[in-house]
Amino acid sequence: MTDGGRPSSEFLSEAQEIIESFSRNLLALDAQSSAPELDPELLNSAFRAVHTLKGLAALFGAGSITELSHALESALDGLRLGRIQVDRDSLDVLFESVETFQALLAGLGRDGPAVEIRGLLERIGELTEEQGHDRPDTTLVGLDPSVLGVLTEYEEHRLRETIRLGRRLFRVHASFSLIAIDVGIEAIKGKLKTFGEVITYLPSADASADDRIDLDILLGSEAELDAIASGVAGDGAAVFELNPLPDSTGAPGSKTSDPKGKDKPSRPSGGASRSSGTAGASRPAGTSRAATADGASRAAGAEGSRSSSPATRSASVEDRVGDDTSFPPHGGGRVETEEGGTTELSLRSLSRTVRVDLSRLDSLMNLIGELAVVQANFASTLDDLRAQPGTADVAREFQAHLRTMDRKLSLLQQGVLEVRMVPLGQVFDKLARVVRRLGREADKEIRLNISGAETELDKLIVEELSDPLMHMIRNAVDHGIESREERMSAGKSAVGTIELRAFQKGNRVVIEVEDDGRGLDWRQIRRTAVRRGLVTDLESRELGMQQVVDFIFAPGFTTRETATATSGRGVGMDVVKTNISRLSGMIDVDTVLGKGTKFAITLPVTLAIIQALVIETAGHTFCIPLNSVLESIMVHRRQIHTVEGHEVISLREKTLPLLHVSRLFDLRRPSENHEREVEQRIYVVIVGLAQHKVGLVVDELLGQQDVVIKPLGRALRSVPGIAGATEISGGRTVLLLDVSTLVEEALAKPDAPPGRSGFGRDGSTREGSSRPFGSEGPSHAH
Amino acid sequence: MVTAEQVLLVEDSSAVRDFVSAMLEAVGDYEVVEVGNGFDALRALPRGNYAFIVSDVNMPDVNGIELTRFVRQSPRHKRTPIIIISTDAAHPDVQRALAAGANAFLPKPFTAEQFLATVASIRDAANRSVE
Repeated sequence: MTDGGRPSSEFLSEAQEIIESFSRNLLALDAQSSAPELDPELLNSAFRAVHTLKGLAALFGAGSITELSHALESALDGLRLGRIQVDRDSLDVLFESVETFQALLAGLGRDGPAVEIRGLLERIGELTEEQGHDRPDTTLVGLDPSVLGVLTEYEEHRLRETIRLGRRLFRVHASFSLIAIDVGIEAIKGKLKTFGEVITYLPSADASADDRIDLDILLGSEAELDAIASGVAGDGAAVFELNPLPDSTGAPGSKTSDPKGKDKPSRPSGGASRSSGTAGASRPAGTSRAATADGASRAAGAEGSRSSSPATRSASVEDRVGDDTSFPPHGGGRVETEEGGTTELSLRSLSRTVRVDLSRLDSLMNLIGELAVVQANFASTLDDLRAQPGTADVAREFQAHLRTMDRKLSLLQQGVLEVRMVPLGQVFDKLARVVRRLGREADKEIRLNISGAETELDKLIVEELSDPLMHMIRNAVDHGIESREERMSAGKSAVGTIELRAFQKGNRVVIEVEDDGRGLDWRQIRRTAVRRGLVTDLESRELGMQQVVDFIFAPGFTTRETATATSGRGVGMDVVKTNISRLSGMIDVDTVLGKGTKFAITLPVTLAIIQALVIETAGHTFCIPLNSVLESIMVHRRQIHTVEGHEVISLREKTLPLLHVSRLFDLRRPSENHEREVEQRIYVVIVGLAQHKVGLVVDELLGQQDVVIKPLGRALRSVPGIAGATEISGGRTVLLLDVSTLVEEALAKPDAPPGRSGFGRDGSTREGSSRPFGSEGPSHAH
Repeated sequence: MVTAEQVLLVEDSSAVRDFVSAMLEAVGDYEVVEVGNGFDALRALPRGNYAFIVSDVNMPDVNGIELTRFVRQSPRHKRTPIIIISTDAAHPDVQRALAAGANAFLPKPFTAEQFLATVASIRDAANRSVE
């Protein structure tokens, strides 16, 4: 094997991309596997993906990948040419190939045991051997042999299939200006696809103009000529039917239009085509025409039937282009809107994208962070300047520049952040494969519904999400969804459903994994929690259902007892929770016994840069992510009271547990002075998400700042409650609090807040007035 | 002043494209115009004076065979040599491309020497046919 050396990153990323698209094709095929007819395009795309991968791997000397893709290519060729059956077995082999490709890629350039591909190659070989070599014997009537000669083997196969299945074959002739060809093609392609299968595109030079191209599109369809003609009328295309249905093979010439179209207007113009649907008075053509600018002239062209010049046709194509790219849908001009799909033209071609190593973006991000620090320093210089007498004018000018710089800096920051965004679909595809595989292993039939795959998140978050989501999906399949029999007897559909949703909510993204399985049995969880000593029996009686269910996130709740019991869902949910917390996210569970379970993960859109509230406590500075700060208030010490050993304050009739940041990290003031002790007013930063709220007691609020998060060194990584480090103005490095862990600290373990917290002066639960500042808080300059 | 000869490279894998064009630019004074699909190739054709067209066969929509046929029809490029690149010499599609008027075939991956030899042989053939 030649898999040695360092694989180039461009090879890796392109190979990865190809494998992902291959996988998507397979998933789509799998979803269609029970349908009467597969979308041939899916098989062809899968073939093409592997074909491209093979060329790529061969070029870069990735031996095993070349070998595997070579074998797979033959199998896929057989599948797309209809020589091999698409069934569970063949799909299994294909899916296994995806996993093997991933493993091979991961192993490239790394020492370690070579990925074994022999077994897989053999199975692929068995598939390939199955294929019959008999060529279908459909006569291709009515086709110009010069056309046949330029079809690939696959296109020829699709052509034969079209005829074998008794479909009609059409030649759609269109002329495009070269500049607009891809947009024009996309538009017409979208429309034609609603009628059937586009077999190929045959370009031919337009002798009259160097900047135009004539295109003959072969379309297989069950629709009538008129319908197609009026469907593409707006694109200035002419439609000809090429073959009679195979039954009437007797006289190829009789009912068949000559492919060269000699029995019709030989150079059909846009106008001619519309009337060539010689349904003449076809309605959509009428509406479509009327909506375009030169509607009148083209309507005239239609009547004149052969008079429209190339220039007119050009206008019609360009109109379409303008229509599709720059203007919102309007009126009847967008006939295609109802047909779906065609409105979203893919204007972004693949070659217009650039792959960037994430570390380059990270260093840009760091630079921006440093600039933000410089910016903050400027701001304090400005303050100093203002303090000087006679500088008002300069200071004002300075401030104006500063404000402009501020705006540009945030635009720059936004720009870099956007570059880091990737769609969640990348992970969802992987999950779809897992569901398929696990479902088969567990012999459960499971439908996975995905929505919001286009939702974007920071690349880093998407990467880190993969494992936790995988875990949750695995739990849903293994423990959530019941066996077929169990579902039937519970009156449910035999097919289990898992919903995977993503959507943006404010500046956060929510990902939900919901199954319609058996749900969590909270009584069972309570028993286990008591048995595990997470809570005493007595305490457990007082807990609400939700509080009990939340025990599945408690460390060590991964129990064999629950896994084998009916509600076994606890497998590693503490790990999931930890991973999500590390991403500054929260996870919530919502379950109904017998109905199903929904997990909701809430995440920030990016981790790279966040707005933070800078606070000080016991002489130390910390940052709190602003998106988890609900508000900051100033309270008097008197207002703190103690309930069962926990410090709390009352806030709008609700009890808010308090946590002293200084005590959490066991911080002492540099000099044990009593200045603070006598300070009667303290700040409480209220943090949390949804129903979980906690007040963090701090000494000072220093203000808000955008901060770039840097990963922690080894020493701090295991300290709970710290999410990362960052730099603030003045070049100081400060720690960022991990809010979700702190909230958990305060809520999940009722006995956690240590007894050392002083008892309040009075034990009563007197209502205290609080002074909300809003989340911005007063910014205290020191 | 010697101007570089233009080569049109049609290939849908960008990594393969980069590789091939780096190689071509290294072995000869070529200016490689890269496109990723058949339609882009159609657009690039009238804009250049290509000494060669190097094209993949298996591409979506407009494949290498169709592209070859198109080039042979077009007044401007009907004599431009076309080199088909593909992983599989025996594939019927390669034969069809040659039948449609492509001049030579090169298996992927190919070396600089193979490419230069192919170019030389195409030029020889062209010269012979002129004489």
